Amino acid sequence: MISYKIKTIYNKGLLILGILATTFSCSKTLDLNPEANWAAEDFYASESDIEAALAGIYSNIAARGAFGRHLILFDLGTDEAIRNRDFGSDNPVGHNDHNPTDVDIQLLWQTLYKGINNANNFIKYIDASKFEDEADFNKYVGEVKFLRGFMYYHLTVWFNEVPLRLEPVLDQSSNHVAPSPLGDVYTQIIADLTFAAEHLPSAFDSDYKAAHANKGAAHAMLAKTYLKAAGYPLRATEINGKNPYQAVKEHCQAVMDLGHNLNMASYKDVFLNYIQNRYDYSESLLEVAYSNGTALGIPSGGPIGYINGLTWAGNLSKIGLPVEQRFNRPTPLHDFIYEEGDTRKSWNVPNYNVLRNAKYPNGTIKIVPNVLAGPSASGKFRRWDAVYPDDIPLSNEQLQPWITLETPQPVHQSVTGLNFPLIRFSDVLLMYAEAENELNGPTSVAQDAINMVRNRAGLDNLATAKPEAIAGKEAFFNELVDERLRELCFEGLRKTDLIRWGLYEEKLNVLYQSIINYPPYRSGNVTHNRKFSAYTNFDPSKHLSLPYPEQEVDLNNLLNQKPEWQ
Amino acid sequence: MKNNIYILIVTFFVSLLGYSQNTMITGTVTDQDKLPLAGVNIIVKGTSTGTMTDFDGSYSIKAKTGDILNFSIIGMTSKTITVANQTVINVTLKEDVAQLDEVVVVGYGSVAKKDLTGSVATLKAETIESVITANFDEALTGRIAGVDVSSNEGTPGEPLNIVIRGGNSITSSNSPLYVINGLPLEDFDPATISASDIETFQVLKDASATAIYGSRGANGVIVITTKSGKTNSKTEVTLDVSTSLQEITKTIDVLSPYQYVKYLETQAIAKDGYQFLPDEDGSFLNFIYKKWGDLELYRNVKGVDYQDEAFNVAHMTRANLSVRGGNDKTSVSFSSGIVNQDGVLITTGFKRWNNNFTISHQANDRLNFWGSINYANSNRRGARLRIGGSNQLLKKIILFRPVDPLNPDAGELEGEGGYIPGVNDNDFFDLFDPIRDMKGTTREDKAHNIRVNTSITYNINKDLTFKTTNGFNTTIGREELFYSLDTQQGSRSPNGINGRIDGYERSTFSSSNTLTFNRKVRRNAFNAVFGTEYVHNTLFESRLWNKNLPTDEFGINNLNIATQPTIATTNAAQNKLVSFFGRANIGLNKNKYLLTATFRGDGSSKFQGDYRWGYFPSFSGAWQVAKEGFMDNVNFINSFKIRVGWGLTGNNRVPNYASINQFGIVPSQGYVFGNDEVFQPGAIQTTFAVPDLRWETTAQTNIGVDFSIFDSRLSGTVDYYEKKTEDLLLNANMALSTGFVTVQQNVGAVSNKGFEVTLSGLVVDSKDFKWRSSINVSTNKNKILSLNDGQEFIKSNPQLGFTSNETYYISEVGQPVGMMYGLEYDGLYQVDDFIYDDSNPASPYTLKDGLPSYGVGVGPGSVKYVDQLTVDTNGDGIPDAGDGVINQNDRKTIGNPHPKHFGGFVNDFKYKNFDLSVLMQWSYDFDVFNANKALWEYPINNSFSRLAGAADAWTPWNTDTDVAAHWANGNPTYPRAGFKGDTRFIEDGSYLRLKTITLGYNLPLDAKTGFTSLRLALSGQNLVTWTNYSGFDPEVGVGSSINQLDNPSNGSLIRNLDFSAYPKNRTYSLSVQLKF
Repeated sequence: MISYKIKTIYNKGLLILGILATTFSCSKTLDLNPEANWAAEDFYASESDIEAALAGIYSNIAARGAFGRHLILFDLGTDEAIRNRDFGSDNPVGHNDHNPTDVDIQLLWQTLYKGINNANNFIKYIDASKFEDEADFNKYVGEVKFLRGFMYYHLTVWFNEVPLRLEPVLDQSSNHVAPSPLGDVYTQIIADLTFAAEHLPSAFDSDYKAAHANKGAAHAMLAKTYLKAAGYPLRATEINGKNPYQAVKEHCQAVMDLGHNLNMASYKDVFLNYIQNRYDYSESLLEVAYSNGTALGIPSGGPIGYINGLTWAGNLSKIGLPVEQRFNRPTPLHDFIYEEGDTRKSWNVPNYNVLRNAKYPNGTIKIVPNVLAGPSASGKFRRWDAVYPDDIPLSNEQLQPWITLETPQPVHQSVTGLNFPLIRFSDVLLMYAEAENELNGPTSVAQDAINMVRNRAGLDNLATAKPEAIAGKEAFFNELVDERLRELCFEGLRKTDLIRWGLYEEKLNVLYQSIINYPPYRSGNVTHNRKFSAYTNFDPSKHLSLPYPEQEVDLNNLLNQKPEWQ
Repeated sequence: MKNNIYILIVTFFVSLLGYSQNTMITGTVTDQDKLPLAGVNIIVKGTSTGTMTDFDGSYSIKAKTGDILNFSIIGMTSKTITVANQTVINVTLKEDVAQLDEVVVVGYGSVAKKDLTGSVATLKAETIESVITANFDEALTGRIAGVDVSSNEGTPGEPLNIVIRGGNSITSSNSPLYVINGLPLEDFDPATISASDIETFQVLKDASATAIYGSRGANGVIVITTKSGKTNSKTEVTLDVSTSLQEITKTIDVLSPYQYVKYLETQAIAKDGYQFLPDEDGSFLNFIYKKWGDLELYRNVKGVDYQDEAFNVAHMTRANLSVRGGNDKTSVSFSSGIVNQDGVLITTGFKRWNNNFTISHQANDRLNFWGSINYANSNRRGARLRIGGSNQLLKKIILFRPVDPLNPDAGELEGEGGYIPGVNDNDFFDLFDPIRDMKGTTREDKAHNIRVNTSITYNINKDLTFKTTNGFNTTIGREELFYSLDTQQGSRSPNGINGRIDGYERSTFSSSNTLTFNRKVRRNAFNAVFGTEYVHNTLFESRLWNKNLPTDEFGINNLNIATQPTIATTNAAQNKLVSFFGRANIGLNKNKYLLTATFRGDGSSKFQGDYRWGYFPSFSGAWQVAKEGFMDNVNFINSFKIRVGWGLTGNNRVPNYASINQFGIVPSQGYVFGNDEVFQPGAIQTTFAVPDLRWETTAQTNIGVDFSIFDSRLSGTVDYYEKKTEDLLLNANMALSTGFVTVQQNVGAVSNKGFEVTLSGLVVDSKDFKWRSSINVSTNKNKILSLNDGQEFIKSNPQLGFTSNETYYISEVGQPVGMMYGLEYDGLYQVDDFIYDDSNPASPYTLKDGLPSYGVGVGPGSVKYVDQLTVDTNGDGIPDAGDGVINQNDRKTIGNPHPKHFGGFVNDFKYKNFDLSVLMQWSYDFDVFNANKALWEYPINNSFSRLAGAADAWTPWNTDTDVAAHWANGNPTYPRAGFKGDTRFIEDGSYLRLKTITLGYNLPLDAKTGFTSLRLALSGQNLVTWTNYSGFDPEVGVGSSINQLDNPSNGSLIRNLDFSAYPKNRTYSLSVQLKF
């Protein structure tokens, strides 16, 4: 009896289990691949993947953490420009009021390293055997190495010693990488950029596509890297087996030999190109490319001209108008640093703004009395201009006294298509002059380079206009320090220049003196005093490089916070 | 408690074995109140003969003299009667206080409560049903030991957080697994079930109870079965209707109109360097007087109280209709219910409509079909108080100025344009009237939920049963968000009038198949279950968002008129789980010794290779001490059981493809190339997968005692548990130089230990008056044992807005998860702390030696913090001095969000036809981070209004205060990054709440009326809360959801955060229940 039952149980049970077993023939059903993404092994398989991967790396340069905001704002708090917000705690770096917990600093670090990790993936996983032509393969790798070098360059000018990561992250042990000595960092950047300079096409080649890295940009970045190595903090007399100033000259010469030159007739035209989305490779070696895709819903726009534009005042609706947040304000230095007839002054610091309110529904142009006044702002990346920039009263007689410069129109309130210069040929010329001066003094070679920049600004040769500036190496250097401000102001370069020259503290003092001796300054006025907060808060032991972000220090066992920031 | 399955089993045996040639005995079974009891099982002892009472309590059974009849029904003490010569036997059953006969539904089976070896808590369906709340989960607070039911905030219809025995996981979800009629759901919305459809509600707490659910059991399991019709019963119609009024319990103190203008005056004086310059053209004070005129004008102005306008008394209606009944083979149940709740915040509300149809059919002696279909339609509407980055609604409600300038001449200030309040104020351009903003915004989350459960039970033979349970649960919904012109978005943002639809479809299909074996051999019982399960979850999401519509006339219904699109997005994902499991129960010597072992193997598509399968065993045993011979003389003890159990359970709640390195197109990571600037979408590594991602495993040990004494008048349960969770599925921070901020990985361990005590007693039991009392107390100690490789702590940033990015929370090894982190407040700097030139008003203040400073210069009225001991001066390795600078190194743990204990105390009184139920609920000794205060009380350099405390800002003539100066030593005093959270904003949240009172009256009904019962009840919820907490309510925690609605990954790390939370409400209800 019992055996019969067991048999029944056994038979029926087996039958049921058999049905169940076939229902889910186990593990295969558990192999699920992502439905909306590529798995790692499937990526870099086609040219379209590679194009997408390249765009993914470039986008980090354009992101908020880099030139999409922070690298422009971090440059504030110098003799050139100051933070235009007296209140609110965003961008404390511009006030030298930051600490390792600031998210701005974290975001800069994180954004550049994100780009580096994607570059490392690219370099590791791109498959040479899939390319018929080795040159094509090298071109892609060269472009990615350019980007990696470019991002390490910006990391090191802001943070000094940084961890060098050249392989994709694997697991949690990847957290721990020690910062490399400066010499190693510079050497690595030079290696990447040298590969890029060898394999990238020139901007003048027929197959060159705008906004991609090119040979000239690689040489210019090499020059910048050597120049940084020659300055604070390393002050190297030899790097990568070379005299750094000699190397700067060589690479600047290579840029000139490629055919880059000051192509635009006027300084203003250079920036109208950025504003109106025209590429002029001969003068603009590389730029951060944005295009206002909001009308189509494409997230390709940027903040240039919005965060750093010319003042738009008044409180009527701002939708669809070329308004701004004017984060950067010129210092009083701009009132007297330009020579008579320098056409750059009116472009860099136009002393007017638009007021649009109930009384002036079409707006009116107001003169800004001085750089401490509320609406003062830099004008280099302006989205709008007076109809007659040289004749404000006449402009105000027009039905609408302002015009939109930005294209395409209508514009978006806060997203713009303006590009931002990364390397301009003027910069190359001034680096060349600086290197020559360091090696040989203010020779005619050095003078020729600076004169090209001066002449385009409507000024005579230095020897004629300012003979004292070529009296000696030091005088010429001082002239270059000022010339770089006049030519390259508001382009995110000043603070790093001052730091490598060892002049940051001195020039903050200039900032302070220029404000307290400025006639409109009133000593009791807290908003006026806030204008030189970068000076007030300056601590020479801390403010020559950024602290490592707190999360990096917490997680990376081989990286300790810089002693001055502990 | 009636239990459907039990009845079915009995019915089955009855039909199978119900034969006899004996005399017919009839009778009725009633309770102590002489009310007939339906569904009482009557079995002739030692045989399989049995029957059941019908609706009138009547029965008939064949038995012979000397037979012993056993009368039993769940909830009543069983009674045995030996048949003499009578043919009529009427029986009165007494209520069973300890309810040990109750059958508890455990995973893939059921067991009598008295035979349980694990820790399982049961909540009566009536309890859930009688509390007038929108969703059933709100009725659970304070009811069950070890189950912490708390709300993030008071948004109508939002699911509550249910955490069983402390959170195991740090960044994964800690919400339990729900099993609804056998269908396991990891993502269950309480709005999809109607409280009055719940038949049984059980919480499986320890590993011996949950390990059968394997990789999903670690957070505990809530098992819900819904009501079926009863076989052999009259059709019963029940109608419940209730109506409620809700109001907020408290408002926050903000500046009155007069305080506000005085605040602006103080601000101006501070900006003028604390010089009084009313007449100096260009001074800040001069400007304020010109703009606002004589400030005394505002002394008695009423102004606008935005809280008064934003919050109102709101109405809620709940109605439910059910029809249930059955014949001998088939029973059906139909129910339909609605809830319509308006929120106390205008524009908000919650609606749902539930329908359930359940049928059970006994096809033959062996085969039973059961099916249930449930459709729920829910709609959560209205503003989200905390959403919107730096533009939270509550912020606007608090910061919007209470009064406009009354000065008619103010026009001169605004230049030639003339002055229009609210238009010409630059400061106020950043804020928008919150009331108009709310009214102009339409937000609705509409969801359709369909759940189908089926089961087929086949009795292969007397011992062996096969059951297949199949079901699916699908939620199809969309969240609509539309901004009309009269909103900040619509009129001031670049998006203009815009509308967005987020669509989603989430499905779970599950199939489980079990073989159950039951056998009794003499005094020993053996029960075993073996089964397999397959679960498939799928997800599809999409977003449409069109901007700049020319008109808001058509709302969300015509987005195609927009002039600016965004790229529509979609996302799809799925995961699968394949499992096998088994359980064996052995009851030795008439269940004196009970042993249970379970085992489950789970394979999940979320993991790869060797890490795919996880195995989860458990063992437990119980000893019925009271059944031992030596206890025979201890008469006052009715039962005494000791339980011990151990087991492993898992947690697999990681994103579906977290274990696969992925590259994906990310819209924001594209770039433009070429002269014509063509957009190239960019791809980046979106997921960094650690290769060995695997299950998070919790080992739990439980020791418990169940007892009942004094004729079962007093019963209790005491449990102690220890849990250790290893291989935490942690969304762990990475070194940022890896290019990743966080990565899912298995690192670290957490332990939880706690006691749970529940005591229930029938204090008074007389004919007319009954008093039943029950108290439950729980403790839980949580501790992080380890974290990521080399990591000693995780700091968490709740992202309270643009200008306040700061890690306010820390989870540190050796400490509980989610502690509050910040600086220690040490008063304000006073003038005496500085050296300055008395004769020169513009003289800077230089701090005296030995006083700590921080970053930028401080001045009188700046906040002073304790300079923690961070420097080791004598080289003994222990820091013994401050470094003179207040910086991030001086931040420390400043608050503990974990209560020492929490619990509930219920008293039920019954007098004649009246009944009264009172629930008190408490949570003791824990901290709340009052971020509203931290962000909106300090004086700031603009003309936004503030919390009332800002009126007490430091000035040279008001130095005895804890509110910083407007301006100190030429610097604004607003707290900068790293300096916002300090001890001033950590408040004790201990509270005792009169949670629920219900007063009911059962009308004595004459049978002629046609009604079987009519009950009226008055009830109140959240009536009184005793607390020292200064915010809306101490039961708050929006850390998981700042700026986004569902981000459970932060829930444990950022605890008890009060920031722009929806205030709790107090509810008064009137309800009627009618049966016929």
